[in-house]
Amino acid sequence: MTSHKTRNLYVVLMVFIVVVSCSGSGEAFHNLLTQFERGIGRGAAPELVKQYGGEYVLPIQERLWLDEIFRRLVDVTKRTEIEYTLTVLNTQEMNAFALPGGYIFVTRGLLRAVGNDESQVAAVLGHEIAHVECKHGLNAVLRQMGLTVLMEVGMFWLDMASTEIVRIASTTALQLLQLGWGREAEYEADILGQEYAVEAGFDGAGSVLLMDYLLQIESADQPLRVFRTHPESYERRERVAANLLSFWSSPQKISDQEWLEVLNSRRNSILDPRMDPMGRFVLTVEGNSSFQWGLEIEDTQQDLALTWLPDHKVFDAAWSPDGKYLAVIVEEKETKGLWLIDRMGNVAKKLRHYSDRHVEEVVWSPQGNMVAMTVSDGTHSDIVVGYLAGNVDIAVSQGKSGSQPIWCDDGIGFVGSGGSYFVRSPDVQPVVIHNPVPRVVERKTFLSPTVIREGNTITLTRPKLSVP
Amino acid sequence: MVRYRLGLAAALIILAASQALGNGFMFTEPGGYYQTVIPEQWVYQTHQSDNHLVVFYGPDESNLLYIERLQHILDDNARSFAERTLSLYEAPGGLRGFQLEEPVTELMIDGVAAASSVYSYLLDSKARQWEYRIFIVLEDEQGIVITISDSEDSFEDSCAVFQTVISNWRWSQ
Repeated sequence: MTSHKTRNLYVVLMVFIVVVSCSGSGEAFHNLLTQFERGIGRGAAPELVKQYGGEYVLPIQERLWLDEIFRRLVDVTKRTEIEYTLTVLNTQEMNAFALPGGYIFVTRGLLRAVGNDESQVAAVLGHEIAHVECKHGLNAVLRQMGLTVLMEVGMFWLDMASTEIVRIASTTALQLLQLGWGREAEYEADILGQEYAVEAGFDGAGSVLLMDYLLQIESADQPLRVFRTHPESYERRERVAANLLSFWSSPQKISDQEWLEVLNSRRNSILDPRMDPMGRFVLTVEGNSSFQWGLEIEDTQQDLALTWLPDHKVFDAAWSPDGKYLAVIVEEKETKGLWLIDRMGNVAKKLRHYSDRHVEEVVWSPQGNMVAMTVSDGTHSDIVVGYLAGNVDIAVSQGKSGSQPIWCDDGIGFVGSGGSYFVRSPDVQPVVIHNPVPRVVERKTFLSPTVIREGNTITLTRPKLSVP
Repeated sequence: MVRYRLGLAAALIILAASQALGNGFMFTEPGGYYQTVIPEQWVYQTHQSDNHLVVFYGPDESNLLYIERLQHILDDNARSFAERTLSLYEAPGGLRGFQLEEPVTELMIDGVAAASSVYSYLLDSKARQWEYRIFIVLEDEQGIVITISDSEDSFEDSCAVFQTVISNWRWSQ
């Protein structure tokens, strides 16, 4: 049966070559190939939806949010002939798919896992869109069927057995989808998807955070069949992390006047890192190369002098823009580290350790999702940007010896070799939903204790638990 | 005589205001867009409120009042805003068991055109919750939604309370 079909296909090829040689038209071929590609996706989509529990209807608010992320990504794609659609699959499995022709799928389980982190959702969707842009699915199907692109176009053009061929191609696409489009295709989709996400105004670090999350789950060996159609996350994680620097501009030398403008527009710069945005605490850390034992804090509300981290060498500290945390450069076991301290003076998170390197001059990004630091090995110092959500550091000074970072709205100014420099950060725009739908609020039920007063005694009874 | 009448009018206004406030408290939205009187025994809920939403629980177990300020509302008028919202609530992914109880009608809130409607939907407990909602479109693509929500049994009582909120509504700008 197979050999019979193959023989027929070769006959079609021969006819096609003759026809093409007589009257070939590039645009017509292109259109026909696109039709074929959409035909594959259209044919395979219903079966894929069926295999993964059907379509899941998101609540309106979430749907509008997801649609807006998807729309921004589609707007930056290059294949204008593709009409992208997004379907949420009703399964706990964490996965996402792309079928040829622009049919994108993401599972309910994956959406739930990444939550409301739009950068990670953009990473997922950007990756799948990139598969379509690169025609990974289409090419894999054609390879599997032993056909060339020209043969397929020829069949369409001649209108011979097109329905049957598309049906076979759709089935093939579904089979291949279970294996993934191939390791190299995944790597390519990671990088291109990350670039789409950044171009669409999302934080490129979302790709790294997503991989970190997948690695975490993979290591926990959870039986969720996480991204089982995708290759190992570690290699992919390293690649997208390394690509983050490409979204920053090269350091540009700026004039003294421009440096003054940077100073004027500073946000939480080294000149003003001590001020608690909520106005309660005042830091007295020196903030130069020297250190002090602990953080000397004046609590203006309680009129108290406090010392946080009294047993640690502190090199610098700065309040986050929202005032929730202090980023502190601390030495522990002769290694510098970047820690976050909460408003109670407790260590909220130990973010990084920098062995054999000196770290100082920490400043926050205006959005509070990154910090910039001066990191030196004794002979050379870099301006290093650390993403707080993941263990990602990038040296944005890019070889220029740098110090005194100042974070402005659109980038970081620093003093480098031979003058002042400015490096532009990627433009990240939050998701804005036009024409949002008003929320519907429901009253929450609380378990309240019963208060029993007996003379001067008040007794609280344990709330009764009852199944509604 | 004129002076006497003015004085009487002023006294009546003060009396009316004090009566209104006597049954509640003056609430000014954090963004400063409006202020109104929140009836007595209605308690502000910090855990459900945010920069754009204020929620108050009433004295019963099922009634609540909430006011939301939305940005990027592109509807031309309050009626369009209301109709678009209700159609989304009715669509898949909207409110479970949605029923339009009273169609959209137009009204004025402190001199600004508004639209109102009554609808109901099913809670997780399968009980039917009724909501009387007022939609307003302001300049600069801002929208205000004022909602009283209650179970069917006591919905009318809550609507009466709602009148206090609406009749005392004042725009700050």
